[in-house]
Amino acid sequence: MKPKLVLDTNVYVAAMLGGRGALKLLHLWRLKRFEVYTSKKQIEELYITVEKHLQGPKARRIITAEVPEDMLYLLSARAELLPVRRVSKLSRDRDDDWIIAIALKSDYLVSENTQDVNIQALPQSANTKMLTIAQAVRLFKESEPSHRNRSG
Amino acid sequence: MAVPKLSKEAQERLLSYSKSKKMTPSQVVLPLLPEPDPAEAAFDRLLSRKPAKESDWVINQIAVEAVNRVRKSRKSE
Repeated sequence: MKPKLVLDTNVYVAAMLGGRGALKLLHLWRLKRFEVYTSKKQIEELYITVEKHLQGPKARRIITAEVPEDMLYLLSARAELLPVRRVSKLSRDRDDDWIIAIALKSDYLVSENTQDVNIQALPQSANTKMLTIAQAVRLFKESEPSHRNRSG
Repeated sequence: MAVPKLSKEAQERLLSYSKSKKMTPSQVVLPLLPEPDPAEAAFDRLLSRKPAKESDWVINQIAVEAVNRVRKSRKSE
């Protein structure tokens, strides 16, 4: 079974801005080293972030029209859409609770926002681990398929 | 994408078959090829762009701040 990941919205935005680590993670997703979970709320959040907060001349030069289209398409076509049920307060910032709620169903939550999205607040029974982009790249780059290890 | 090479015999067979059907060889072959996966094409486009000149730390901070602004504005609505 492949590990299940929730990538915080900032990871998709970093990839759209050309962040090397985020692009490497996107590449590992393409190689199917892990599965990605998302929610309608995240797709909406990604759309609003690009529409409202990445409209400066520099950002527009990097994020041309087809970039968010492609990213939103990948989320709808390659990620598994999970329903978000109402959750009790889970993170320091209540507005991040929905991402914690889908992270509860995954093995890892990848985020660069380690201050607000706080999985320390997760129930003890949850096995979700939190990773930064760099940690996730290192972990899934190293987890080569076993047949490669055998061939040396 | 890798382009398969046909043997001389296969090329001749393709030519004679396409002639008999009054079609070009590509008209015979193209419908047999699978449709390209649009998700793979999206990955191709996203991954073929030049990485940012700025460090990952800078890019990640811009991304975190942009998403935080959306979360904060949602809260104030």
